[in-house]
Amino acid sequence: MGRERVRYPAFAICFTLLLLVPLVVVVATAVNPGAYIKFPPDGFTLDWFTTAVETPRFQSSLLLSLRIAVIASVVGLALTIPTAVAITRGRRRLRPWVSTATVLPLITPDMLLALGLLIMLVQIGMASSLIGLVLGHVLIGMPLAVQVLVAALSGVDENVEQAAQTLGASRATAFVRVTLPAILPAIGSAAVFLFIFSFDNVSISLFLSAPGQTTLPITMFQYLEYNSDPTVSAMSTILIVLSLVVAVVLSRLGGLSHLAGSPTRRSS
Amino acid sequence: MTFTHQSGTAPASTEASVPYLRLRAVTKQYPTGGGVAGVDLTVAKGDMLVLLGPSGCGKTTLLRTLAGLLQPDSGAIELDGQDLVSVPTFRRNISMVFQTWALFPTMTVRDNVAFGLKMRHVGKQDRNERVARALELVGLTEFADRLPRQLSGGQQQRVAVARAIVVEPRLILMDEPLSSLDHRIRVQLRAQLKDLQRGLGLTGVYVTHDHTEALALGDRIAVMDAGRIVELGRPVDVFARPTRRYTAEFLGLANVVDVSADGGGYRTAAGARIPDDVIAGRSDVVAVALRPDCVRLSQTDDGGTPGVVRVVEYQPGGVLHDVELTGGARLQALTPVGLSYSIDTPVFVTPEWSKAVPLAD
Amino acid sequence: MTRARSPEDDTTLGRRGSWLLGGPMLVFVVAMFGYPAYLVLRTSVASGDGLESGGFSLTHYVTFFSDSLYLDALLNTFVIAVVSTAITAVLGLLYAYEITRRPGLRTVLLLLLVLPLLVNGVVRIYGLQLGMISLDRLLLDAGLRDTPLGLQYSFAGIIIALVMFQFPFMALAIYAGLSRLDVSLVEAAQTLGAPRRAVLLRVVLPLAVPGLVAGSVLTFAAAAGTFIIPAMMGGGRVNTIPQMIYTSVSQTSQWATASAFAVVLVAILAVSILYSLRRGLRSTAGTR
Repeated sequence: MGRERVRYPAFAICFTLLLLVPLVVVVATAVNPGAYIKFPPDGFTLDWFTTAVETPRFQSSLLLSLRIAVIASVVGLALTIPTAVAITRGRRRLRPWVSTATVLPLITPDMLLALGLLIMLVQIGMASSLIGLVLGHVLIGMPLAVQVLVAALSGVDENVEQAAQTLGASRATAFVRVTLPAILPAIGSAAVFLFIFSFDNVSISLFLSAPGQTTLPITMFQYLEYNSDPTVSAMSTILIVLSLVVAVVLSRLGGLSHLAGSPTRRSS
Repeated sequence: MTFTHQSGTAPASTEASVPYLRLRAVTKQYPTGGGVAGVDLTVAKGDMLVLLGPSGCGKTTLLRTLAGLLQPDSGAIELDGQDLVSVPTFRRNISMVFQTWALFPTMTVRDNVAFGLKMRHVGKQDRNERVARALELVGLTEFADRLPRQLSGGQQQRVAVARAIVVEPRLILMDEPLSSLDHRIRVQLRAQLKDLQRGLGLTGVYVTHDHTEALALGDRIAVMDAGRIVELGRPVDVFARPTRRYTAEFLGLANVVDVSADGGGYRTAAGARIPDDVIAGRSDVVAVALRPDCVRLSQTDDGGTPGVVRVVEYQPGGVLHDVELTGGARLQALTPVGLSYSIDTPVFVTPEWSKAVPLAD
Repeated sequence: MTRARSPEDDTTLGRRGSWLLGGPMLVFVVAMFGYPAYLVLRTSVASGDGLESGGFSLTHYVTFFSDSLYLDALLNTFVIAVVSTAITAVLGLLYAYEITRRPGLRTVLLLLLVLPLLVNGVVRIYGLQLGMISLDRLLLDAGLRDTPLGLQYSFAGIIIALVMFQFPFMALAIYAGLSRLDVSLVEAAQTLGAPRRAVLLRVVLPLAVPGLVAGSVLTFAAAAGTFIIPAMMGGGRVNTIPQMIYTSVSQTSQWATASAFAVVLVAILAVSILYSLRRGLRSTAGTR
């Protein structure tokens, strides 16, 4: 027993580092002075970052992706917060229906969701609209956001809301003044998840993006089909840094643990 | 104060002949079972009524119905002459202390206490003064800027009390507010709570399953069983002279011995005759209660029933003996500390049946 | 029961409130999931290949099952899904167990696990490709190999990428179960005379099973449904159903064919998942 306690979790450490190696390689190739991919790099330069941001294709895609992700987060929150309240505080007979509905997109392959949405949008003549893209992204990010919010809401003692009511607050006031502040971190986490699921999405964007108006992952994918150079590495590095920021924000909000529990956690 | 307003005819107190809080045939049933059925109750202004009973007896349901957190299926609730049933919780001008205290986790102690006043649109200056006074009353002035999670259990409980009394509610409801505390703090806070309620003249309904708490806090006690009130009266009466077997058994303070009618009088299964003046002409008696200090023990054969001491328990008031009588029945006897017997001692037991209390089913 | 929570009616939202809050999500899911799914099904049995064709025929399914190109793609998809799920499950189990045994490193290990999940998938695949190319070059330069491994643009590359993508989910799902492992439980088993292997098998493994099942279902579905991984890692050499769906739609506008592919994919997914779940349930029921 004692011997095992001291032993280092070599396997675990090595394996996670291995998972991170590709990211390190990307960053390394982004600072190579030459206009080609080289690892390890021959020198150090930050020029490629300027180039990447100034490349019109990347620039417009990045802005589009950011815009869509922000809208998807807002729309997603507007949809998921009431849903989570209904699941935790609603009538018992309605709850399983709502929580099952929120899980469906999670267990369906993205490709099917994307194809179905495209057929529908073509039929109603909105194939290239941003609305379709945003709603598609909300569909993808919604399950995890709901889970985060449901977990937070079930952590709030219902007596607390009732205490507010006995003290003279209407149900709505009690929710806004007492419950909402208590789940604010979870709302933050949910927003981050909605953002990142939208920002990173490939399948939905691939089908629903209008030609010439593609999101960043799609632009990069299409770019990489024909070339790989330090510009795309630099763009990738920017995204990696962004992910790090997101990770820090999430860990401060306590949202990382939700990623851990998500696949097994059913309606609690 | 008497407990005659059970019938609703006699004047309740010197202050008001009309009860302050009145429940009539309040019924709230759950599809899964439980709840309360046909509860009639009155509480006089300034009184504390304790609802006492085991978990599942419906006492919390009744309290939540008073708070408006549950709607009764039928029946009427009146407070100070006003019908309450149609009034939503937040307009009832009552307050409630929860078993979990239910403090607002994101607010400081001060904001917790101020919440009810804010909801009542009390001006800032007035509000601050009242919050300060309430915090002083519960001795938490220096903790005003802490968050609930930074306080001990007893302190949190006091915040909950301060939050409830600061709004000067027409009625204060308490749902086992002390049950999650250590015994020592519980006893201490119990006294403070009684003090506060008396001092502020608050009318209250207090739910508990702990009979010592009921004794300490109640002006009147309502014992509940299976959704009904089975006994109602002043603490001293309920404890000293319970009228139902259920009450006597639940309180656990006395021997409960089954009796049956036998010709002219009542006898125990062992054949002991219960004096007629104990029964007092009642016809519904099924058992009698006999306090352990009314059971005499002796080592010499003085005509008592032979038995053997099985368990000995030292208590503040003396030594409690659990005696197994020949035939297997058990009887508890309390003796002064100097006169106790050790385990397995053969003794003769003499119950003073003249001090027994008749019990109906 | 009695004390736990006051029953619904008054303390929870009323009927109207519940519908008001829960309704929008139901509408959203019906409109954005239910109806589109119906459309895919409907289009797959249309008589023509266009969107407006209507009618009813099973031509597209018949075509699918009689064309070796499509059947190969189906086989590829299936093999990729099975192999990557198996590898991910084993690695995930080991990893989750490591985390459980070393609570001190728990936070670090979990953070390392979650970090890659937040990075864009295209970036991660790109990184993997670069890594594989660099590895080849390093091996050649060091004289350890004469020919490149050629991991990028290969079947193995797809599997590696999938394992890399799904491994964190699997490990986390299993860990969610294992974290409930009470150390005193293991100690109790040991005091009762259970050898180490028995403890692992009887006490630890059953806790891991629900997470293993959930993680496997997720991995299997993700592996069978992924477009971007075979598209980028396969280099056009490995054909899978999701790729065929995409090309059918984007290049030849064969809506009905694409829909038939999608239906077949989902049917196979559903059947395999249900089948393995049933078998899994039976085998765990046997050990109890």
